Amino acid sequence: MMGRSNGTAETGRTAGQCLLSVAAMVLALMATPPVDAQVPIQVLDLGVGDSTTPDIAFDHDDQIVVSYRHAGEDALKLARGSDCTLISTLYDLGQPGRTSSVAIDSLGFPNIVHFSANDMPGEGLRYTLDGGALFGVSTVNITPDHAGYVPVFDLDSVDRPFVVYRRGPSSAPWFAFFDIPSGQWASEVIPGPDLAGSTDDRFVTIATDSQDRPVVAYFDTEDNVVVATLSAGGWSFRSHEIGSSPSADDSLSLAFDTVDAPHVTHAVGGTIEVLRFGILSVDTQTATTSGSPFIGPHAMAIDAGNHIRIVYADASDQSLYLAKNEYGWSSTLIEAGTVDATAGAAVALDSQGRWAVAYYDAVNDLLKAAGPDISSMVRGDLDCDGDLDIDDTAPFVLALLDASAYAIAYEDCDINAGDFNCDGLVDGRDIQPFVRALLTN
Amino acid sequence: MKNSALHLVCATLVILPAFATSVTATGLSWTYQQIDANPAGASGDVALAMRTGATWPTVFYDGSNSGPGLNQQVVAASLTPVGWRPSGLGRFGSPDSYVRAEPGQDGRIGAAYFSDQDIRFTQSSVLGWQSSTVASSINPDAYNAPDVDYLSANRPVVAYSESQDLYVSAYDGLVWNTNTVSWAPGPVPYQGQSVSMAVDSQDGIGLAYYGVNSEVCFAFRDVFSGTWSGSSIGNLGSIQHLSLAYGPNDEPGLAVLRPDGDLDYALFNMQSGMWDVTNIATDVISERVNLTFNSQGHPAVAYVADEAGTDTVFYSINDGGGWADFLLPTGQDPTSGLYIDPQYDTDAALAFDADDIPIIAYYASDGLLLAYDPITPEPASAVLLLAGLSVATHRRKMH
Repeated sequence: MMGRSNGTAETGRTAGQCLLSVAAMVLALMATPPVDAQVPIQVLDLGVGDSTTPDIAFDHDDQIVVSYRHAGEDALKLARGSDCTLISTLYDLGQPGRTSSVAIDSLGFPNIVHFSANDMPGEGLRYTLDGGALFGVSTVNITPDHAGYVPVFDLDSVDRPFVVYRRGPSSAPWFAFFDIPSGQWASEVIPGPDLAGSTDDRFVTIATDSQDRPVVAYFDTEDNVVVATLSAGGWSFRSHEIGSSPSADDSLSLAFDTVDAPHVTHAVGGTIEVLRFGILSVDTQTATTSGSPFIGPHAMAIDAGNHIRIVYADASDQSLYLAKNEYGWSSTLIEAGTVDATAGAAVALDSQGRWAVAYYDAVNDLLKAAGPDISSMVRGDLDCDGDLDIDDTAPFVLALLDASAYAIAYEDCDINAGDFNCDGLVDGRDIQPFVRALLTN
Repeated sequence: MKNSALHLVCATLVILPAFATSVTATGLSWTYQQIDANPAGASGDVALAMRTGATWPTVFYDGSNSGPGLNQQVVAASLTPVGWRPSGLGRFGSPDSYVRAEPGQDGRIGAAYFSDQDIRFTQSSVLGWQSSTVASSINPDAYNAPDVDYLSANRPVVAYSESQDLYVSAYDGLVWNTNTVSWAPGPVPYQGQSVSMAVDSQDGIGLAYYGVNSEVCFAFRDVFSGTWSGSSIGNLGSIQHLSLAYGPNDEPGLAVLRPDGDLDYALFNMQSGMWDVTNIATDVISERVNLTFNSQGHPAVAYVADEAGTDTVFYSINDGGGWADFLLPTGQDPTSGLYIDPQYDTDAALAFDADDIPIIAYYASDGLLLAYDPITPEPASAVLLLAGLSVATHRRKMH
């Protein structure tokens, strides 16, 4: 994404004023701890406010697409990763729910499901299609009433959406689908065991297998993981006891291997387990027992070689990890000491099987993405020496005041590195995030 | 189609007797959706194609009063999880667009239509509706109207006529390459009008048209030699509209609509080398029909016809045991509340979804509607249930 500098936007600001402003913010934020990044990390949005449970997917260009709640703006938002992160506000919701869910359709368009809790008309479970030039952006209600909590959804191979959600405590999960013959959304209760927990507990998730069957996994009230599959004959159920009751911050995630066997992962009882619902039995793997792990409803993905990836947060040190089962289970540190362990991070695989995660950095109030192939551009590296440090302050100020002069003085550098809010400009709105990033680095 | 079977075939016209005996059945249920509340189309032109694995319908029509950006436009309205999403594709020709549509192999759809005196092609893409001009300065009337289909690798091909010359134009990724069919020598005149086109599984292009010899003709372009061959289906009188499609084993089928309201179906018989022609309806009011095969190779059409003094939408399918007519209800649909009586002379555009469920788009009292029959996944099943009612009949009529 190419950006443009607006050298005249801050016409009243002198270089001295800029430096003073930057210096003041440096002093104000000196207490911010350093970050120990193990893999490339990209800041997707700032001031996200409150914990959000993002979801992540890859589009057809293998660029990340992240849906999330921005509590500071009272909005559901969508971040698209590229050299510069584009952020588009899809809908001002008033009070979007903590959990959103995104999937990419066959044309490459993001589809998002979220819960709107405002008291305006339109509250409830909502579906947004960001249909580009073909269909435009539009949002409709899936449920007309004030119900539809913690939704998760998926698309099948022909773009039919399937949503699972809860309507309250201790009742069976609900299932919504778009009824093409009537052109309307329809919903039904899944006729299985009751769902454990209370209204906001993310105890249910959904995915579609390669045969386009929607499969739902959830915790029931008897400490079982239930797997419900909808096929031509209706719903069928399997369950497996997990031995402990999930806490309010627990969740579970669902994915399939190459033979469509459902895998369910959970972190109940301080252990991340993966349950494989095979033909005759349920096999259990332990991904990690260390620390105090938590996962979200989009925490697991399985590649074409049946290698499992699970992103989890350790509440004991507020760090984010990726567990992998290549030649046995191992974990990679993604970021240390910053995450809200109970927010729930999300993982996705691109067309080559490369992973990326999206998560909430609670310490710095940032939405971030990380992964081996996340953009390597160091935001704020205005002198293009490969890092962000105090030496970037002067070129950043120059970029703010005179883009042409910056281009001459730093002819091999990309001024877009100063465009922190990715609005295509390097201007006063980038000062605060620049300072914050400078200090956290 | 195996073109060798058609080379220099002197086809014999065989008109099978039509049996008008009808029976009435109940139990079928159609759901209705309103695509556009106020299209106010002066024409009844409607085309329907299914996107993304024959799952999502897109309806093309002339939007005369459809709202900002859509008035006097050819409109593509697509059903999505957020409802119907209309897009204007440009001014339609005067009087009509004569739009026709087909799906591509990868879930995309394309349409050809008149925009003023241009023949335009448009197709869905992630970048929006991508449109281009196939031909210009064509008199925009029904006789010259374009038809569209896809060759392999999603290459669109458009056929049309002008001054009795037949043209086939294929897009090579950069430009439209136009072949003038009339230049080719052959046993039938390669000149005519009211052309309909279909592409077989081997990329052979079939054309049906009303020849200058007043016969309905079929021409076939062999993909390897690039040469045209043809046969005459016979003198069927004046022609209102033709619709060509390929059935099982690439056998061509043709719906022939005549100005007197008779609707015939012609099927090329590979064994006899002849065209078998059957009358399948009378009193048809629609000015166009589109012949469609379901995934089991059963031909079907939809149209508006007079039924005891009431304009009625018919869905007619031949499951191998003869043509069966399903009559769509009239009046007010109790579920949607929509008034579903068809507008006089509207097209009834037919397509099948991935489960072979018929879908019909047409102009009705309450605007442009989509009728969907979710209760009848396999029409043959319904026919079996009615077997006792239809003994010794070749045609059945079911509500």
